[in-house]
Amino acid sequence: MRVGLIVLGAVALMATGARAETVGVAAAVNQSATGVAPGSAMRTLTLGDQIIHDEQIVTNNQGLLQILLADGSSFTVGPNSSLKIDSFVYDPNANSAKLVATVGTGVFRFIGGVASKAPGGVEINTPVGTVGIRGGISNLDFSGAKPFHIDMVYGVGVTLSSGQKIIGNLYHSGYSIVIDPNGKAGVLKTPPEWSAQFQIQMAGSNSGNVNGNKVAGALGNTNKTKAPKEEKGDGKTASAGDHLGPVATWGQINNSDLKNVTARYDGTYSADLTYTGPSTHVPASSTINNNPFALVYSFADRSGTTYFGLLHTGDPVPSPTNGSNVTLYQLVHNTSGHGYHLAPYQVFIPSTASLTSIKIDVDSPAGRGFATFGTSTTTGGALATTAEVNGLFLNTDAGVAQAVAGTVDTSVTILGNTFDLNGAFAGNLTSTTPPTP
Amino acid sequence: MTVAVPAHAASNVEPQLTGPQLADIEAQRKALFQKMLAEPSNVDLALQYAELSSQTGDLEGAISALERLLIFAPQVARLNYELGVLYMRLGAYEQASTDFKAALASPDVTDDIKTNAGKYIAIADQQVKGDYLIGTATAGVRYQTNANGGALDPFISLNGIEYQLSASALADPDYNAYMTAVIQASHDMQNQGDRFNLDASLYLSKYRKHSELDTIAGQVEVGPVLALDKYGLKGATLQLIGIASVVELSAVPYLYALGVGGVLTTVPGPGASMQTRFEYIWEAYQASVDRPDADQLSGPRARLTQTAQVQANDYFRLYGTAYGERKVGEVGYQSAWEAGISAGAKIAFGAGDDVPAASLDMQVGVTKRVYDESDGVTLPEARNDKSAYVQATLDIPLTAKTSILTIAGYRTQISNYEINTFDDASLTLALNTDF
Repeated sequence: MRVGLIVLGAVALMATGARAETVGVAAAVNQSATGVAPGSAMRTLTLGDQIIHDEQIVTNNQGLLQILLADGSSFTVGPNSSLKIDSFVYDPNANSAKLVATVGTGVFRFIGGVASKAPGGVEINTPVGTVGIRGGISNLDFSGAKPFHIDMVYGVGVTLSSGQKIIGNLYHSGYSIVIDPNGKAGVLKTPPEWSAQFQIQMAGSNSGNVNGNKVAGALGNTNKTKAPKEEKGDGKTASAGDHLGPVATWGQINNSDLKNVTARYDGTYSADLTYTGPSTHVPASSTINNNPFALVYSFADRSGTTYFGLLHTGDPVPSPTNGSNVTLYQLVHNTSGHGYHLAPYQVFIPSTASLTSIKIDVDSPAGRGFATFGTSTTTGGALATTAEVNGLFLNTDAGVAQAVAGTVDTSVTILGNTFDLNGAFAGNLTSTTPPTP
Repeated sequence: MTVAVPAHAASNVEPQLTGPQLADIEAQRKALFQKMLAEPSNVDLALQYAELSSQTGDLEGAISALERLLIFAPQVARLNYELGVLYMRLGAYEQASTDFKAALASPDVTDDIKTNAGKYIAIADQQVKGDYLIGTATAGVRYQTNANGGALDPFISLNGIEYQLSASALADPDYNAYMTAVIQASHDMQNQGDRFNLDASLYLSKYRKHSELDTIAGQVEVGPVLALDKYGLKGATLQLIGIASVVELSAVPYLYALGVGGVLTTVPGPGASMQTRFEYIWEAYQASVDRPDADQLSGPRARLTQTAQVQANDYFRLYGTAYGERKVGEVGYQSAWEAGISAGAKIAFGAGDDVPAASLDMQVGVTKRVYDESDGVTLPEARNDKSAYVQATLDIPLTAKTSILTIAGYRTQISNYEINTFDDASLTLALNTDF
């Protein structure tokens, strides 16, 4: 997923009533976005590429793209999203414009330019109907993670039509049209978590092309922070004062001292887990929805062993009540002297606990953690012989990603009985405590 | 087919510049936009474009440019902070709060960002929360040259016969201590701007000599405030109110009133607002030993008030009011038509880091009142009064929420019924606090 700097040719401005092939420019690209124009092969979109009329644009699960149109309108296309500009006509002399687009699944932010300043200037065909945007900024979420919704962040109005009938109408900032699974539309005040989630999805990771220090310097920051080092394979260390980004890359981890650095990211995850085994005390299956979890980095020093792991706090966990092992990962310094690798680490949950909550702290240098259940606290006991949770975190070169997903395929041993635990989970992380040395 | 857009519709808020300066900046902005299309990763171009867009009032253009940089550099505190400020200016408080919180979570957050973002988050979250309770209380001392509104001339003519007024009917200076409290409780009905408001006010005064003027007055207005954005009237509201008030003079009931009203508020343009208020109130005045004929004032009062206000810039506001009123009493000589106009200006100056700006507010006004009938004693003609007033208020903040008020005023009334001709100069020193 190359993100490179390519100088853009001029975007053609259109005469009144004439359609032109180019509708906009890829003004920002982070991670992967592809485009398929009519009659053309798929191409990877890079910064500065001209966007063609009717070109189907698709982003992957980390892709982020901003399309800037000649009238000043912009679409920010989030991860796992698809969009097509069906038509765009702009007459700068008359200061008039009209835009028609089609979006599929995914998340999008539209910021209005000239086109949205007049009624009927912007129409977006969506999976739930046609959205008309008048003078403003709107978020559109058809990702399926929540109910489909269209938020009016600011503007004059947003309408949702099904055929000729208007089924949703927004005229006040801070409200959303929500579409239930039956296609029925309602209006409610935009929940704060939706805005927060959009903030995360619409902000990219440091791509290296426009680094944070340049932006900070241009904005007149008086307390400059060093940019994260690019990944290097030579194990060269950076200074002890280096900070990790909110989502640290393995390159950063490998190339910094990490001494006494801690960071915490909170999020929610959902999981569908099934158990098979001899004991009837174990639930056959459980579904966990929107449970809080945290990812904690806690590094002692470069030469030592330190840990990060899954903290599960708050809501009840529908997992075996008889006692089981939860496998975490520890970040172990390589014996070669460079870099780190993950090693499984297990904590035994006593069978006698009343399982109302789980909190596991894993910063003990002794290699054991503390598990807290309800109001009782106990230290970890005997470990099971086998347990491994694969794919607990997306460990890509881009970093321990904000989106967390994977499969669970493990066995747990409870009082001598072995159970299989299988399933899938997915969640999202937000940086709540920035890395601190 | 393209859709024509009026030129003024391109800005979200009032431009910071006007005239040739604005045209010049607009031209620079258009040229910058073309360069930006060619070099979308050029940080300097994007930031210049955002700054010029902000100056011309196109905050969406500024936001688009800064959010593009956010895709490349999400962890820059200043970037998230500036976006928060732009969203605050648009009134998109939820998004503003989100951006300010992102600024605080950024690794390069500076102390000034922490301080300012914290303040803005509190304001934005309060706006988003919807429900609020606000109020203001004032306590002060006032000196009046004619506290009892007495006649200036000890000799008056009643139907051509000259009488000498008693001392108690003549103008007399006095001090009074007073207190006012005004609160507004507002409930967000979660229906795209509709609210339910309750406004209550209380006034207490105690005179040093003229205890017959000691006053306790309270008024409550309650009712829904309906947002009219759905009808294309952006920022406009229609408030329906029930009104109730009670007045006691010298610890004796003087007035009970109950009524209904409506207030239409519109926003004709950035920084401007107009309000049309109508109220219809039934007033029941109570006779007493000090005011044996007060009940003759009982009856309905209908009043229509039109107010216009323009905030020219951060430091200067102009406002004006015109009203017309019909009061019907139990007797014709207590029934009257009244109309008046007033105009004022408020100038702010000297804002500090932690306190708001001081201000000087000056108002002038005139009214005319014409009664229906002669009182049968003073003159064959019905009474008619003309009055004028001027008032200046100096507000010096002590903290973010408290200030000292110095109010100087002069009022004069000229009536064909000489006993009702008077003037009064006043000076007030008060402490005001918001909560």
